[in-house]
Amino acid sequence: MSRRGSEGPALRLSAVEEDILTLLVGRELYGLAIIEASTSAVGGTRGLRLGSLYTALYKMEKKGLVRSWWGSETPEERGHARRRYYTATGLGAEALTATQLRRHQLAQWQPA
Amino acid sequence: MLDHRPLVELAQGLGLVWLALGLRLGLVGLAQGVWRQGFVLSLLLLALTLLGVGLLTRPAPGPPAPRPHRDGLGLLVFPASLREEWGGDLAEACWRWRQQGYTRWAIRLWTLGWLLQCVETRVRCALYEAVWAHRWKKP
Repeated sequence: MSRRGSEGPALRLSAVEEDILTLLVGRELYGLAIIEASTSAVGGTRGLRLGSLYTALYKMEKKGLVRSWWGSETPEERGHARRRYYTATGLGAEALTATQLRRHQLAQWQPA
Repeated sequence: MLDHRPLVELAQGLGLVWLALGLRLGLVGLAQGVWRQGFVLSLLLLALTLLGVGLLTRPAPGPPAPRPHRDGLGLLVFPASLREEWGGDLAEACWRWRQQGYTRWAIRLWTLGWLLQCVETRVRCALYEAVWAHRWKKP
């Protein structure tokens, strides 16, 4: 049985999830760094919103799209609070590839 | 054991309908001066009988059913890990803004904006879960 057949609905990504996964594939970033990366990558016009970020990360971790861990450093500028780093899992990378492929197929479609 | 709960609920439902009918007919009769005392009283008596039967034969409540596990976050209660994470990010952002020379009131305004964003997202998610995920049932 194909994996997409059994987990199809879970692999459909929202726009925020797609943005986050795009940033997290092959990278390890914490919350503030994700916000800054998303803002600077698109020229500061419309990055990820802070309110959406943490809720999205929490749900994505529940779905197995990302994994997270506490950093060991406790910088003074953070009031000695730890950073929580995130990276995309294999399932997350696969879901992102499937979504991008789907977009590509839609863009390539020609009327008969 | 025969489950007579549907009959009890039917009796209670009919009793309520009869009660409402009796009260309305009684009020209409009083307003129009056509007071049919016997008819209205018999309706009310039937209604009270049905309600009484329903109440007396209602089965004792069983143990409370376990609450369904909710996968999402609470409305305003963030997990402790998320609070620490968000608080740390906010402290670092404030520190950077101070380094960039922003005034204290501007930083407070930004912080308030961030907090409102978080609350707004949580309210939106809770509404979505309540209205869409829990209330919307397929027929």
